[in-house]
Amino acid sequence: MTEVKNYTNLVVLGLPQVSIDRALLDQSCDYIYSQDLYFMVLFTNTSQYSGWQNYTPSQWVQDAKAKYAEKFLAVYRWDEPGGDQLDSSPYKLVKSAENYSDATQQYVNVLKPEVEYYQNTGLDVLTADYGLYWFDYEAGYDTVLAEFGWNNSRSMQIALARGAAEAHNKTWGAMITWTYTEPPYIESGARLLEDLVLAYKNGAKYVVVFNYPEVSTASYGLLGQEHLSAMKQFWNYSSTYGPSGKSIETAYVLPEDYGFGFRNSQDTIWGLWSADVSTSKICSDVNMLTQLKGAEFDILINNSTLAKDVKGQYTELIYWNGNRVNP
Amino acid sequence: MQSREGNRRLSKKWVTLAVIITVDLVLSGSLLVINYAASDNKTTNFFFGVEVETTTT
Repeated sequence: MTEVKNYTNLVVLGLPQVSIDRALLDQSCDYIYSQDLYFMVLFTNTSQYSGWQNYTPSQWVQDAKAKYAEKFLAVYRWDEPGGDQLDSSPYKLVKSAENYSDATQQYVNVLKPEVEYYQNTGLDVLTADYGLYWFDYEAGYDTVLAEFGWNNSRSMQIALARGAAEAHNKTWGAMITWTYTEPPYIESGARLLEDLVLAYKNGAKYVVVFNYPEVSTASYGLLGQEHLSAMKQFWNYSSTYGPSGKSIETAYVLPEDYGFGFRNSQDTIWGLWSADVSTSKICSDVNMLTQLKGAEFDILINNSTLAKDVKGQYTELIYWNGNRVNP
Repeated sequence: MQSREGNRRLSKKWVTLAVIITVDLVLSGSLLVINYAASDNKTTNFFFGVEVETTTT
């Protein structure tokens, strides 16, 4: 924090063991606040806070809101719920479903109370994820950070996250995360700078660089001098230039309740079904759009609640079934 | 009294100078730019930082 505080304004405390230890949590937040930084705190399952006795995480959030005011930006609850679902982690939300609609309903039913528990304090609730963003917003998240990692298409991540956020009248961001499973773990400084600028120019409200101190003997965990230098350059860039502010003209519209992972054309739907008859064309369409437009298109999901004013924001709607509409 | 009078004259001069500078800034548009810059607080609209994470529970 001492190293980056002069060229960042946000710290995400993603350490469950810190949030569980109330004294350490208070001490950490006091320190971040004293450094004049904004912050978010990851909270884990409420059962983990039994040591707090009658004082609940919800009460802590309310008290922290009063204490830290605007510096306490959001609660980070349930890391990668969409990823848990797609990759059948031990925390998978929906184990079986009759159809895509049933999967949506169950996913939202499981996640919504977790989000609302903290939202009822009046604070925003956020997560980072690598798929199913649309359904994270359906569950009520105020912000989803789309993960930029591995070799995933940054343009596609932006199209999915921004489209879902705009349709739900919410905000989105980017989380730069693992590229490799072995050293150097994270992308180069030059690529990091490109990613930061790309997310910023495309309207991200939050851009976060993931760090993991325990995998390296380096002073700053995953981040080497090239990454810190890229972050400084980006800070100077964002202090000088605004986001592009360009309006997005085109949206690609997926079928209703289509919980596809989008990592490749064989990816799973909802972590429950294999790719279906529509998948191949959808992947081909989306890949073509990323080649033609980069990140300058959004991806929406068709449903009865997709308001006319959402559709009306675009001059061109391209549906998965070949229909084209110019609202 | 002379001293007070002197101070009053000096104050009048400063007020006159401040008015001239203000009018000049408004006419040149500079004051508008200054006001705009002061209200354009970018840090409240965009957040950039690091996540610190270790093991998950």
